[in-house]
Amino acid sequence: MTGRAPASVELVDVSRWYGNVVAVNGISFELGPGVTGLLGPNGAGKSTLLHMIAGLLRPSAGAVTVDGRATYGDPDVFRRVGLVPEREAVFGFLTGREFVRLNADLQGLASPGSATDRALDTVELSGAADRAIATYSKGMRQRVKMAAALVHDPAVLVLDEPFNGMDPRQRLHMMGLLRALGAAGRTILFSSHILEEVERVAERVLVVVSGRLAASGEFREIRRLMTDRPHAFRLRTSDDRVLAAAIVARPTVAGVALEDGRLIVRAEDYAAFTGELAGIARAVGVSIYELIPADESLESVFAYLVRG
Amino acid sequence: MSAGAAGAASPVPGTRPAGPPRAFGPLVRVTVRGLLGRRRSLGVVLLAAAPVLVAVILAVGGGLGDPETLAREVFATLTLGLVIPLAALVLGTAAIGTEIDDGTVVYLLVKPVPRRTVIVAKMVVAISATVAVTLPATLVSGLLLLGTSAPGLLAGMVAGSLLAAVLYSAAFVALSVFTGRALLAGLGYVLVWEGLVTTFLPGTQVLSIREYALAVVEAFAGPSALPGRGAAVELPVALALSTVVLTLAFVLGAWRLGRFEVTDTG
Repeated sequence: MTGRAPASVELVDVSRWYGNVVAVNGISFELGPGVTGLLGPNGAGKSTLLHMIAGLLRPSAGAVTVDGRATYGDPDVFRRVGLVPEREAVFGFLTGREFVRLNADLQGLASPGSATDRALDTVELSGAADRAIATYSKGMRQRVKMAAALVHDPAVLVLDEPFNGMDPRQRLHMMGLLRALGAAGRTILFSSHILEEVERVAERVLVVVSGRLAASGEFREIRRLMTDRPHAFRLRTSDDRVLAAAIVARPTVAGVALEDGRLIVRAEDYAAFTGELAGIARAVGVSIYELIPADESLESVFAYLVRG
Repeated sequence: MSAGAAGAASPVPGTRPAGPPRAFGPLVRVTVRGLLGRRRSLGVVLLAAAPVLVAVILAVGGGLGDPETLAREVFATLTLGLVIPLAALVLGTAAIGTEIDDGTVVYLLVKPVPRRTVIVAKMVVAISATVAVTLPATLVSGLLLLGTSAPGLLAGMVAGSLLAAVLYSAAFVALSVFTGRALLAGLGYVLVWEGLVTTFLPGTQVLSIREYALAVVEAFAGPSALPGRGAAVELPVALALSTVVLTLAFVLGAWRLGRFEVTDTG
């Protein structure tokens, strides 16, 4: 079952545009067995990338290959690749078992019945397998989609936002499942716009922003890049100008500004800055009422990575 | 164990090559299940009841003149003019258009199954469903109005219905693969092109499925005495063009589905 040859996925200078809109712009990377997270804000081109790898979209330029074979226009690629689409729609009038069996039949498996049972078992859906999918919760739908993609035991598994709409327990289960499948030698690529999800499952990370590969590598390195970047804070104090004058000379501070009557501080080293801020304020007799990180949105993190 | 031919020559253990014969049955079954589960399928059955209802009213009312003329009028205007194309439109778009709309078609496309097999399965189901719904409508309304007095006309109407159901269904399945607005485009064809344009510009009648069906009716029943209700196309031409329509629907549908690209948001 897991003794299959490991698959390699390779993208060489891949671009994809829709009319005048460039969705993916000159991306190259190579994937081997294990779990890789594809991280990026919404609209970054993650789905476009995944669909090209799954053989459903033609690259406008460059080459997308699985084991050296171009994925688009070759139906045989679908034997090696499993896709879990983002859209929730499945054949609601079928039971879970019928739906997975349909996928097994269309894959032309020699023993579709036992493959169906095995896939349902893997996603722990055997208990609800004989209910119509229309009655399933979001998490169960996600799992039945997963079973459909796993039924032919593919070497490559591609998942588009698999954690969307799942409750914390379902999320944990899916994370464990992905880790186990990756450990068993499958090449797994899943997309997410949530850093913490990727952090908990993926060994490697690809960060995509605006259609470009902004960073790639071990998760720890990406995390360090993200936390070591300059941080901005918004402060509300008893005397903004006095505090601004006091901190502007500090080496931990990159810049100070007054915007809309609020003091904005850009910290060079956010740990050191937050550590010494209280002492400075006390020394100049200023009370701090509020200290809010001003740019913690994922978009600003991504923006920094693109610049970096 | 590098790429290319090696991968092709050594199939994955536990699988075997999947050809049309193995994929066809499951594709047909899931399409039928999908049609049966939809409320609009019930609407189609009600639509098909319209000619029968009209025939009942005319038969009970009586005294409205020549039964053959009545039967031809009901068939040409209602059954062939509206019921069959609309039933084919609803069932043809439901067979694949809804799957394209809601994205479930992806599950059929990410399989080692030739896209032409998918198209053929969809067309076979759409055609069978349309025939199953509309043929009884033609037969029952015809029997109610004609009895057994004009077996030639009745046979002609049945044959014409059959041809129309096949051609309309195949064409509308293909249309569904080309446009997300197949329902609108199909309505436009039926109501505007066949309903208006071909009436006022007789030269365009050669490009009308309705005329091919009427040619078949006349081949069985003889030319109509009704003004403006005669077939404008000779039978051999009608049959040749019917073959062209069916072939084009299959070839273009398979071609378009083969180039079908799934685009999601993001």
